[in-house]
Amino acid sequence: MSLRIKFKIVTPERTVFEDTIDQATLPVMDGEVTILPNHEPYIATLRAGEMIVKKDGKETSLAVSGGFIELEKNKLTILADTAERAEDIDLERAEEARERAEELKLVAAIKKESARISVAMKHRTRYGIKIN
Amino acid sequence: MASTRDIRRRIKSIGNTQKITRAMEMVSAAKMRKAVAGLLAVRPYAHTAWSVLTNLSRAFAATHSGLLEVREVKNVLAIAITSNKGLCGPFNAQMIRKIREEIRNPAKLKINYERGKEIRSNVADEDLRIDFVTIGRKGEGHIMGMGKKIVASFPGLTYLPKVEDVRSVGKIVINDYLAKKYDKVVIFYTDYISAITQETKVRQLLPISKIELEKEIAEMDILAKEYGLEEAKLEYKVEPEPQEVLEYILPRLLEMQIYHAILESNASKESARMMAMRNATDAAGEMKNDLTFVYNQIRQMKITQEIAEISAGRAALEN
Repeated sequence: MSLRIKFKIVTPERTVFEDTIDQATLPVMDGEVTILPNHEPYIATLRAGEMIVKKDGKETSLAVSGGFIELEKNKLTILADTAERAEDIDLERAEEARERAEELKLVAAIKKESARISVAMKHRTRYGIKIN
Repeated sequence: MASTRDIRRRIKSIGNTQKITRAMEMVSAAKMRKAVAGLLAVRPYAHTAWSVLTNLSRAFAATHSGLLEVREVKNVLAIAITSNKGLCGPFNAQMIRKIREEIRNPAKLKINYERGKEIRSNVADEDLRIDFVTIGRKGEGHIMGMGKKIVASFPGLTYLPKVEDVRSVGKIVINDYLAKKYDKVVIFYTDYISAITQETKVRQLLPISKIELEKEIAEMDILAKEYGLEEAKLEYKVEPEPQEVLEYILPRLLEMQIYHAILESNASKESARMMAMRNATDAAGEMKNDLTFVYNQIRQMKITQEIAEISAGRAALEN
């Protein structure tokens, strides 16, 4: 069996996702990082964006709004402020929330909602769900 | 002697009250289970956050983040968690008593620790300013009655809050501390030990002290206690810089602490209410039994009297 990474996303509210995976692509402060098995121990901060997790060629995408990660010996733990799986995001609501954030000029909230929207859009196009 | 009709009426009304209290007990039991589940959900987060922090401990010593700065205590900000509604046993009364005690004798509040050294405050007890942030409406009146200022109030946060909702509390606390408006921030909350025992507690939030955090996380997370918090650590690659990461983590830890305290209080409140309502239900049951007994006595006495009257009447006729 090939090496795998034990992967876990936790927020203070719940454990959002837990699995053993092949690779993960994370939005860190200075860009994007893809973690493969046997990566060196690593700590970094996250920005709002899309996280892609691959297992057996299948991709799962999640929207995160910031937080930090800890990687030790093929064990990756993500401490996110909020995290949602693409299929759980309500696109219409996310768009409304972004409009509200733009009106109030909340930079962090705009970034968060934009990330959620792009993740949800991608998910919908991929699975052939029509976007009105 | 009370008439049978009055007694019957009372029995009925007590029965109705009993139905209400029993329903409230069950509602609280359900809410308590939810709150406790929430408490358990914080644990993995707390555990990992702690492990990251331990890994950054070298950075911890070198950082000059405003949140770690230790000053002489002159102004204190206290967060007090009470409930919005009553009927929850001694929950609010205990909290208010605890707050009153701490205000009257603020010796502990006045000490700040820096690397194991005590920094005592030279301010007299009466001159120490303590302002409050309240979560839950019940405490507000009492705190104002003690002559303390309430700088912010969050009545909406008491039942199963989201972390995002807690963020605004965290923001107030952090901004005021960084602006040096306050030299110490504490939180008053009720620790949920079991369904029958809860304990009011005061915990220091700012300046962030490693010892305090360690205590809290060890209490919260049994895993951390088992594996030991200070296990030998790997060399981590840290991006961008340990310092920056630390500054990023600290406010989150603070939020997590506040969030956790609210959840603890939540669970405590619901279990206190559950116990109070169970007692009320039991008391109502007892009262109903007593009254039924009295009612039957009166009823029997009446029957006996009637029979006596009838037989007396008959005896008079026969003679």
